[in-house]
Amino acid sequence: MELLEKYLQAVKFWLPSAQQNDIIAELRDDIRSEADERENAVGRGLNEGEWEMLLKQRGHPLLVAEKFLSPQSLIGPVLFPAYWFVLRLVLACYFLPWIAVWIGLVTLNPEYRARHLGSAAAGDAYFLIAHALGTAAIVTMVFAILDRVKDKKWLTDNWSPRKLPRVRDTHRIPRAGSAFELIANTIFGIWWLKILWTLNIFEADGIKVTIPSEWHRFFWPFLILLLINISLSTWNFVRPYWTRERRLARAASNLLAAVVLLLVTKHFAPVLAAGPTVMARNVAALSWTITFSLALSFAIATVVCFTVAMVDAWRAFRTNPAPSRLNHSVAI
Amino acid sequence: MTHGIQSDSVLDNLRLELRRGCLVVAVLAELRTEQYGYTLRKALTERGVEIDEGTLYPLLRRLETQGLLASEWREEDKRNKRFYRISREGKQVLKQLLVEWQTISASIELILQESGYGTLREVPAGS
Repeated sequence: MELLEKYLQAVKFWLPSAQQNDIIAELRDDIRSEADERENAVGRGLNEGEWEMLLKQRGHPLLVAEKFLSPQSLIGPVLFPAYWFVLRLVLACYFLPWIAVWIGLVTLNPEYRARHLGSAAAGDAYFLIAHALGTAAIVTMVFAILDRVKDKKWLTDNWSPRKLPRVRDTHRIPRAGSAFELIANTIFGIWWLKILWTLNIFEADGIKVTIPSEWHRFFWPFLILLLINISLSTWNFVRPYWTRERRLARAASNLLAAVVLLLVTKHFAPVLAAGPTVMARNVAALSWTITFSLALSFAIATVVCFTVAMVDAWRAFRTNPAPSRLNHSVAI
Repeated sequence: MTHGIQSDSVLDNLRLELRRGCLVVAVLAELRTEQYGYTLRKALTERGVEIDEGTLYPLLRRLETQGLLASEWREEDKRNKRFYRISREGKQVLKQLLVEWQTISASIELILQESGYGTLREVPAGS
């Protein structure tokens, strides 16, 4: 009987205080009734081993108590899909830029590389994960509060199928996007090629910022890249549907861009700033700042281009070789 | 092997879902005569509706909170027991649930016949 009382006490611990006594009294009677039946069957009182077996069959006290508790959830089923979407988005927006910056700094900055590779990388990862967990906790807390205070009637009553987003055709390439790409590529490409050709970044107020002549060798690779990108954007604008070939071409162009950018990053020659009206120390600081920003931008662009190339290649293999007209008509 | 374990757990979950509603009907019907928890559980088991105490007692509490059951503590065999019986509201709900049950059963019967499984009685227990 001592075992029974110990068992009931353990169950009671996990029960809500308002119902503890009631539930325990009923549970005690139920277990005793079962013990009575077993005793009648064997014609004697149960020994300690038999009591132990009977209670073990009932289950762990925590599990027994859990069945009497009403189901609890931090975020209910109504808000959970939105919570899951936002959490993944926030974590992606947090992780990806940080990883890109880290790779950029390790690639470009020898001092940073010396301090942040090997076991020190574990410290960086710890810092990153600790902050990610903090971010996830904040998102979870916000949704948990919303779940408790926000009236969710707008989700169940005030909605109309007309207000839902248009059907997305994953094969369709928005013409506005292609047009933007075409204009941006042309403007940026010409500006960048002019710098590579003249080696002059800018000149104003007596300050002249230039790049060494080593940069000149990247003129032709960038020109080829620009022509490829302009051709692809024009092609997408004229025939706005993704095909496997088109995705592969896009993947190849991004991979080529990643290779060119990687070469630039590896053979990066510092930017030079000069100006008679500016103090020497300021000139050095300006050179360093522009060099560092430019080098970091190239490193990040390398990672981004490589990632996009991989995503494009993956999508290419998932794309049907010849998309049906039905797919296209869905978006119309 | 993993597939077998997975399908076992899927089957267990489906069976649990299927039984959940049936248990309410069985308990309400059984409590037309007053009983306490242990005898109710035994009566249900004898009629083929196995239910463990971890499911039965929370269910009894929930049905009582919903006003479908009434209970009182009384002494019997020198021991305090909680006796349950169906309330007037519970009887009405049971009647409606049985109508619903018959409708679902008839629909399932029709679906089984049309899809070539025969009737509910013909489906072998092990299939």
